[in-house]
Amino acid sequence: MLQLADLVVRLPDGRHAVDGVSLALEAGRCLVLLGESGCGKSLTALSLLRLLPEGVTIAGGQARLAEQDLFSLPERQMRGWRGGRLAMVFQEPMSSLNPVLTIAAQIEEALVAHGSSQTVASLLADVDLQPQHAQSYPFQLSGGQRQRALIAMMLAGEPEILIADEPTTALDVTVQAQILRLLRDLQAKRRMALLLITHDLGIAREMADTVAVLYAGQVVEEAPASALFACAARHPYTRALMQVTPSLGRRGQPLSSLPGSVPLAGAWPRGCRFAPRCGQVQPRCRELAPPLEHGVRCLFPLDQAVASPPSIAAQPLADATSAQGTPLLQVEDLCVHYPIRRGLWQRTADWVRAVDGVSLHLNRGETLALVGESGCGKSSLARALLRLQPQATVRGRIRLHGEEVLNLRGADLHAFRSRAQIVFQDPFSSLNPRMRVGDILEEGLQALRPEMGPGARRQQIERMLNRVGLDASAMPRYPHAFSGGQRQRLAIARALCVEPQLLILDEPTSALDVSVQAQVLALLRALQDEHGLAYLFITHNLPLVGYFADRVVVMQGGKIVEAGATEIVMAAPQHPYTQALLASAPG
Amino acid sequence: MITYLIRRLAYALPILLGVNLLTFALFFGVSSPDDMARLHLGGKRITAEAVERWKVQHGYDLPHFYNPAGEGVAKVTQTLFVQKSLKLFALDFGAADDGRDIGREIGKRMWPSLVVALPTFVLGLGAYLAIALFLVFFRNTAIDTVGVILLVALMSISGLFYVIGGQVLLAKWWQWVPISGYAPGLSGLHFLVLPVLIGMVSGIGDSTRFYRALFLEEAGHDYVRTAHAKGLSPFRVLFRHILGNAAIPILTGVVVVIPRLFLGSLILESFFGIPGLGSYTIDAIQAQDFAIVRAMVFLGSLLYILGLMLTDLSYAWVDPRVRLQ
Amino acid sequence: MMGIQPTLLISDAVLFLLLAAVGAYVWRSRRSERARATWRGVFAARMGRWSAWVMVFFVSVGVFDSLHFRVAVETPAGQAQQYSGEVLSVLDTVLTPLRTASEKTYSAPLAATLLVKESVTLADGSVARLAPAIAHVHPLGTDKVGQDVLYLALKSVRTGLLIGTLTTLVMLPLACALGIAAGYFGGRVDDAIQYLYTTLNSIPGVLLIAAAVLVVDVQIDAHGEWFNSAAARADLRLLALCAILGLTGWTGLARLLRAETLKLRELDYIQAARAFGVSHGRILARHVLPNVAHLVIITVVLDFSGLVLAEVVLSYVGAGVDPATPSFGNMINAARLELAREPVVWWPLATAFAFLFTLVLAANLFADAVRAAFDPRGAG
Repeated sequence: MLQLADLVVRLPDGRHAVDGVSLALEAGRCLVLLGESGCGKSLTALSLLRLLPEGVTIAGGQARLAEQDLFSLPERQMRGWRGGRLAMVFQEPMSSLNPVLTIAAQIEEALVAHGSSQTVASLLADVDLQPQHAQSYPFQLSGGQRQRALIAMMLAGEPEILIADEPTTALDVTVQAQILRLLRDLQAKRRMALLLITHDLGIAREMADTVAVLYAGQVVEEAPASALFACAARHPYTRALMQVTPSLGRRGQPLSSLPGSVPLAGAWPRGCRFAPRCGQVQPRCRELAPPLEHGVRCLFPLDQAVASPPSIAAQPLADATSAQGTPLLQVEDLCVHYPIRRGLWQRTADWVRAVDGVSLHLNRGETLALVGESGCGKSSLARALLRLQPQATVRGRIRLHGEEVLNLRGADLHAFRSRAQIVFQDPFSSLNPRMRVGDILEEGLQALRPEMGPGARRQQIERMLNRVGLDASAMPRYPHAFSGGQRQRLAIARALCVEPQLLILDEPTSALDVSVQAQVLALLRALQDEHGLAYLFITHNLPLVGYFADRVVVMQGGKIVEAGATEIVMAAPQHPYTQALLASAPG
Repeated sequence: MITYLIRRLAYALPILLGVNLLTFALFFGVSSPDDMARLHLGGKRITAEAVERWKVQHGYDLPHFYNPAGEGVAKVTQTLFVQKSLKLFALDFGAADDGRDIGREIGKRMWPSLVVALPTFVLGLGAYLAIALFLVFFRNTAIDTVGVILLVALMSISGLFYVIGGQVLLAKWWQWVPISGYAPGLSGLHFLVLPVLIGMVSGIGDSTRFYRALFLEEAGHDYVRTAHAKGLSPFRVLFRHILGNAAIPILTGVVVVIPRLFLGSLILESFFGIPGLGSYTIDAIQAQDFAIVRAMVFLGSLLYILGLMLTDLSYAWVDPRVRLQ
Repeated sequence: MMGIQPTLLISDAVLFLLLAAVGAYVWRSRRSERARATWRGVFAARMGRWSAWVMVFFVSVGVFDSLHFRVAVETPAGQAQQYSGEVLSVLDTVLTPLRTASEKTYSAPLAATLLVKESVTLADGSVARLAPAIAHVHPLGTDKVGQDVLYLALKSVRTGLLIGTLTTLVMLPLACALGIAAGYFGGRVDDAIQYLYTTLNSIPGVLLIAAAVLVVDVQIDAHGEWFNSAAARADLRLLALCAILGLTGWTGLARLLRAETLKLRELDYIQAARAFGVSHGRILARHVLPNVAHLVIITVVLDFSGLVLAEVVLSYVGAGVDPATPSFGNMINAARLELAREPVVWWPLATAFAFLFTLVLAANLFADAVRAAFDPRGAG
């Protein structure tokens, strides 16, 4: 139905971000465009609607829809097609809706623009929203409801093609499952072609009829989903992607490694663009750019049935639960409450019970996963454990090494800080952009190990940099010179410099590409074995928990609803919420 | 809502008291009534008696905070602070150095000020927004580039030149309008044309650029892309979505100044001979009449705080996310 | 050969201090690749480069006009060398032909005669009305008392520059300390600082400045003994004006810094520093201040032109610099009434306009280039 041929997208500085992408969409079918960050998938989608950001231009290619080339259509006519024949759902449902107009007004506007015979009520019903939501403003809705509202708007013009750009990335797992189901139902009911863009293999597996894998601005493999996911990926990159994705089934095995990271737009290597990271690379690969032949862009494509299916039986990790004696960390009945001030005198009228009576324990050398959706209190818990909660009232007991953490003052608190450290989610905001890497790593030592001389500090920093796979040459550089994965390594090195016993990992890999995630996980595992570190691993990603954690606690609404050994909880969840979480995980 | 208003008023009081104390410290602490008297009597050789006489005449012969000569409450009330500063809270502004009642003068002079300031404000806002929207509509074209350079040039010209240029060009050479003057009512309309026009033009550079930047920032938001993806016309996206959202920051800047329109413009009023509060103030500064300056400072703060409250109310009206409590 | 005695007015000292600070900043940022790249961005834009050159011209005029000295006067032998009461600057020396070549009254630019006709007794004894020839040629004419207009305009540059820069010197520490403290510490500290700036903000700006200037005037009047020369007196008045503008003008930047610090405070790298037990002072110095520095630089550059223009209005209102100090405000004030004369005396006003417009336009364009380079998102 829609034929995209040889699309080239040029960035303002002249580099190409998309470099000859061809795709075919068919009515009633779902094409998944799969790729890591920076491979050009969003720009490909925006090109189809001709809504590229300012300065970014379509430098070549054609998009044929009903014998018309979208790229040469006059703007006035294109406007009728936008939201008419082609519609698009975006990633951030909050910012994608106009905050000061009601849902009804925003849907109505699209209906009027396309002279549609549908009504606001019927569209809301189509996306399973209640009629009373029509008069709501976006801020009054939950994330999932907002995304439904956005979808309703996009259905107003009865599009033949629906493009969804990471439509569930900003949502919780349970909501994600609902939205994906909704998209699938709508596609079937309305016989739309669905172009779904994602970085998540699980979503691709669940939704796709056909998968196109994008790497460095090119399609490297295109195949029917059924074939691709039955371990028949023929491009080394696709194969590697599948092997680096953690899951319960891979528990205890190292993930196959995919070194390096996706090259930046325009900074592509000569020859095959994947060659520098490829395990099967041949000398010819570095010379000759391979064409896309039989659905794969590789000079030496893999055979179809080489990979062995992952073993399904989950095994407990070695000596995971064998730790004896008193736990390193003991939390009893911990409450973190934020005051809500109201009324004339701004008195505390009520409390937000972010964490409400949580008890858990963590042994030396053990990984405890803390799982929950956004707003469940997991980050509040983490900050309270580190005594980083000046605004809140924290009650209960936290004991690290038998010490009452909540009672620590002065020098004792200082000593505690070198025993418990944290690695944050966002590798970009966790390093001060105006400080050199050396200074960033030195900061903790200066504060917590004043007895160390400059030479000793430098030695320690170099040791840690080497340990996380970087070297002393990183010290005089600024964080912006490093990729996301490298920054996360730096953040880990910073925490380890002061030799903590407890490391809180707050979604440490969720901002990273899967290939980089595998590297970071391997590093964390090795460090744990070396130093006997205890990890409190905060995440919402269940397959990751299955792969990485010894034990898991599931948190909902500030309380722990289920706890136990990972393989038991994952195999036979008891609490309905855990069951729902597991059922929602895509893939 | 009521709770909000009460809290807001409770918040306003300490601010006004702060202003009051600040001006008191400035006029009675840093410089003393003796200094004032000498300044007004002028000349080098002034007798102590003359200074005393002047102080008695103008009611400055009191102690600052505590008057041991008074009886009962008068110990506290018969002081400079109460008589000259706290009374402002009752809108009792006292007398100017020439003996006239400041309160009555203000009541009389605020209307001419408003007659000039209000049309300047309304027409100006309309013009600035229109030009800014026009430039944003043509963003990334030569029209926008040239427009912005012109705006920068316009904002690099001192306001005084607009007044002088306008008077020379429109009034003196072309004789379209009178050069200055004021008459109340409709008959005085032709006197207003030039000051209003000049008031508008002198603000054009700064304000239009500010609004253009606001619109451009809104235009970069995701919901604008959604609106385009729905197939809306660029016109509709600009007016309904971008303008609708930019209205919120625009309001912050605009509503807060509305009450202050009563104070008028110093420059315009003095150049065009409009008998408003602006020219009253400027005359007072030039005559070094501290009583009037004090009164105007207090009045200005009062109107500003009123403006802040109006801003909050207008927020609640425009932005569905804001609930006052 | 007459001796000279270098004379350092307070404003000279402060100005040189400021130049030294700018020099130190330049020297420091030369080492940082990032800062170099950002400043290269400023000068890469054509507008940025041109406006920078114009600014360099004005700044040099101002600096040469700040190298003050007094000339030795003939002193009876055996007494200590005495110096003239008149304070001159290097700029005055350079412009000696313009400075000393005064006429009786108005003359038009490049005119050969004065503007006004006089009754002159001719050689044959008859009396004729004609405009007397002038002693010197004046490129931009002379004013009422016969002073060269170009000389006046060049002398006014220093005043404008000082007001635009020294004010910042007073305003910056206040704005940075209070704005960052309010944002970082929150709670009571924030409440107190917000109260302070709402109170200051609530007073109409011109009125507050005028009131403060009135008070300072009274003080200067009452303490004539503080000054050993008229120049010192005018200088103090100028400094006082800068101080007043700074003390009343810090609220805008403080607000901006407070909002930015509020955002920074929640960022992970500051949380990480707190998890290391790094002290507040260190966090402020190493994490917060460097990350709001671009806002400070942008504001300083943006404020400059506004302050130069403010001087004009304040001088008109009667709360500006000393009437004896050459300044654009005083020039315009004196010149605006001359338009009503017949024939029209337009050149003092036109000169003031041209100089002021060039200076402010260059400052504005430079500020735009700086903002575009330092904060690409916020460029408007």
